[in-house]
Amino acid sequence: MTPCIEIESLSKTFIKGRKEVRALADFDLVVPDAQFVCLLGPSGCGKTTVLRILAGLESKSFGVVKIKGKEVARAGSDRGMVFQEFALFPWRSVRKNIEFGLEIKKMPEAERREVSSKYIDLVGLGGFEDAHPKELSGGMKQRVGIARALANEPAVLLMDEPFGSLDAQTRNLMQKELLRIWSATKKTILFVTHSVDEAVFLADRIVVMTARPGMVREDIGVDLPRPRDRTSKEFISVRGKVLAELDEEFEKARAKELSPD
Amino acid sequence: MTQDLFRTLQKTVKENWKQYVLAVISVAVFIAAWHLYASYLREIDSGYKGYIPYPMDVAEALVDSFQYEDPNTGLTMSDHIGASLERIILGFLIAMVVAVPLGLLMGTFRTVDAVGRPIVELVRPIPPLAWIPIFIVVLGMLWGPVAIVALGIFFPVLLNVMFGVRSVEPTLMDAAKTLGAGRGQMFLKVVLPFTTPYLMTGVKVGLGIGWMCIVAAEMVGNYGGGVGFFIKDTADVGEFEYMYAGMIVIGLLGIFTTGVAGFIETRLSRWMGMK
Amino acid sequence: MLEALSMERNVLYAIIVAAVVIVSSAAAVYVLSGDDEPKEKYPVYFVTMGVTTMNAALASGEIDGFIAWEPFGSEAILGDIGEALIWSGDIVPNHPCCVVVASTDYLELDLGGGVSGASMTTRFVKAHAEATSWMVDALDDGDGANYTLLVDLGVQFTGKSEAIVESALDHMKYGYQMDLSFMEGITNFTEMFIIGGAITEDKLATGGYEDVDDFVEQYTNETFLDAESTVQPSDVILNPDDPVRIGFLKSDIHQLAQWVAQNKTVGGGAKSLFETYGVNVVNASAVGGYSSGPEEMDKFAAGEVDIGYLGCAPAIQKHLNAQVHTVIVAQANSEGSAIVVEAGAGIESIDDLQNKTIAVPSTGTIQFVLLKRAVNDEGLELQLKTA
Repeated sequence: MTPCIEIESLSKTFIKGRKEVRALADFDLVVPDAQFVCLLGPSGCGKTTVLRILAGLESKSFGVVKIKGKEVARAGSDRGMVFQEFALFPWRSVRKNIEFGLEIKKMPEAERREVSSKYIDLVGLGGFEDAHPKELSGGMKQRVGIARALANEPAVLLMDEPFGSLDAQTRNLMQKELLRIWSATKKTILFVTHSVDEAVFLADRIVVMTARPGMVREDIGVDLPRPRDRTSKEFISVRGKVLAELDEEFEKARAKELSPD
Repeated sequence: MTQDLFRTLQKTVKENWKQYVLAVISVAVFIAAWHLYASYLREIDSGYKGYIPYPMDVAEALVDSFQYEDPNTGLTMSDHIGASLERIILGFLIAMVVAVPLGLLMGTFRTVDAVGRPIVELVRPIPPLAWIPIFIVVLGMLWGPVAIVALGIFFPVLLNVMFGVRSVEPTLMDAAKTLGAGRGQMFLKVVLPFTTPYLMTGVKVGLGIGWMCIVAAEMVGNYGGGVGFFIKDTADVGEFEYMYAGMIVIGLLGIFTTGVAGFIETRLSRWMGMK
Repeated sequence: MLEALSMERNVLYAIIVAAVVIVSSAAAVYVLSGDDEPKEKYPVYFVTMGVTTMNAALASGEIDGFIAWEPFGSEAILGDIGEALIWSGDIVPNHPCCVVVASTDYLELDLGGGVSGASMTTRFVKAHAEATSWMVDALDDGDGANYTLLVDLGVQFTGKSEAIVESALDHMKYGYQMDLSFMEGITNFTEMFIIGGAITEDKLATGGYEDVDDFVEQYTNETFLDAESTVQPSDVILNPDDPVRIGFLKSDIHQLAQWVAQNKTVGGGAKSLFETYGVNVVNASAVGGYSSGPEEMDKFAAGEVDIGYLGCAPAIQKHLNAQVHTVIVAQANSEGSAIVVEAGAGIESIDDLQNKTIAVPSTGTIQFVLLKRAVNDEGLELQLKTA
């Protein structure tokens, strides 16, 4: 079976003024279908860059990036993305936001309504179809974001710290909701986060990245059955392991910041 | 639709009644002070007492100007207002037709911006009023004033549209891209709607400038009358009560049009979810 | 079926008959009424614009003609842009044009040492009268030295070419007396202004005048002209520290007298006419002249002008409408305006002005009154041009 995501020797160098910044170097990752993978790492390690290159929002400097066996180039609706800042279109209602991608595809109106209704129900926003983003809470906005991306039936869902703007309680709630949606849709998810706790709660697999230039430091499988109990021994153990890896990289990143490259 | 408008008006008045009372009081104080000053000038028989008529006389002249048909021109104030409005609307349309597409282009494409910028930055600081004599001689007495108005409205609209285009949040563009939008669709479905409230701001500012321009332009040369013409004409013969009446008309028209534009601007921003 | 057909045919016949009746009666009415009515006359159209833009507008074809005071008419004629249709002296002979006006506040001023605004005004008027007489003689002089000097002074004052100045001088009359003809002209203009709405009739009462005649009587102050014969030259300048601030219009050749009165050669070599009579003068305007009569009246109101030259129209209108403290003390000139039309356009009479557009400086000017008079006398209407 062709893996959903194949990344081989990916590297990315930015030119900032006179300096060259190597964001990624030799990054490898293979993700099979329907797997939930979290990318974790210190700031500046390039985890968001990986996501953006996959999405086609950023170009790569070197390497091979494939979705379902095909090399990716520009952005497209086969890779849906959910943003930390929600990025909803403020002048469109919930339904219209979700239908955006379908309009692009020139889907006829009746069909669009069917699809958008389906996803509105899926993310639990029934009754809010005609509301505008500014009337919604953070959690609800992100539900729209997820529904909007999913409505295009992408091969993979790329999520860039999607719950970073939410308060702790909403965040917990949304994590559970995401798992529910994931099990209903069976999408491959690549989820970038800062939070170890979140990663352990959500992921099948946690990829810890090194400090800049980013590459894979450790690939930790999380075998715990869901729903996961944050207070359980196993959870705490995995968490500890991941933290240990991460702390070292944090130190390295700090050191790098203090000494100019 | 009109019922909605009326209800909104009622609501606004009820919510802001304190402000309205204060406004009325301040206007009353102003008129009283004006009256006192006019009295004082007449007391001391000042050389320019005729230049500060009593508020009552101005009010009378205002009413009279609407009823009385000037023997030479055959026009009443309503005719003058119509003539000025015509020119403003024409100038407004011309300005919009050029400024909006140009603003969108300049905001989107660096090369267009590079080409257009120098000319824009050179011409913009020149007050439209400075162009009046030239425009009227070169373009004639109909299109001269219209062109002045168009020039006055052009720059605020252009700059606000450009600014709007540049202000589109990059994440919105990213989101559109990941939803499969190509450049054309991004422009139509993201940039355009996003820029509309900015456009309205430009329109609001531009209209204010436009009124100023039309009055000044009409004073230089015109046919068909107009409020600017009326003001100059009455000032020239010293009928200052009428001149002030004309100025009040301009003021009210200006408030009205920019008020309407501002109203649309707020409504649009709200609908856009951007306020 | 046959019945239906015949029904239709009957209706058809009825319609045809009705149509014929209607058409023939209409034709009859038209033919019958046609003879009684004269051929339709079109109006003459006017627009307003500043005098300085009129030449360009005529050249560009924006207007078919204009009426303005000299030297703007001559400028167009000599520039081959326009030709004179009629000079204002042919519309209303001897009509007054520019006048000398004194600020009544200035007249009441006491300058100390037996000198007052009124006494200085008397001397000013004397110098003005002599300058004006000199100009009239110089014009009659043909090729004499004085004529050449006059033209030079005209060129200096207006900034226009010699040819234009000569042409302008050719078509105007300088005069300083406020004689019967002058008074009649002023009365006539005042009445025209009231009819035309340039003066609000109520304002006569506001100014304390009973009627137009009373106003003209009071507003033309002859005491200064009358005192002319008693004024003696003075060895010294009588108002060294308080020069008379003179107002006049830029480039307006009608107002050349005050320029002539400042010239030493005219005064006999050593002193100018003003100096001869002990009058110290200075330009009221920092830029050497105002751009319009209304503007000059505003300066009177602001107390910046003591004695000024300007058209009689603003002198009358702003005094009555806005109670500016002024009074007319002498005449400056009469006639000196022209209706100029596009050169070579084939406009040869007022009648040819039908449907044409003529520019006027503003509806408050005597030029407008003169144009209206010329047009109305021909049985035509003068209408504002609308888009």
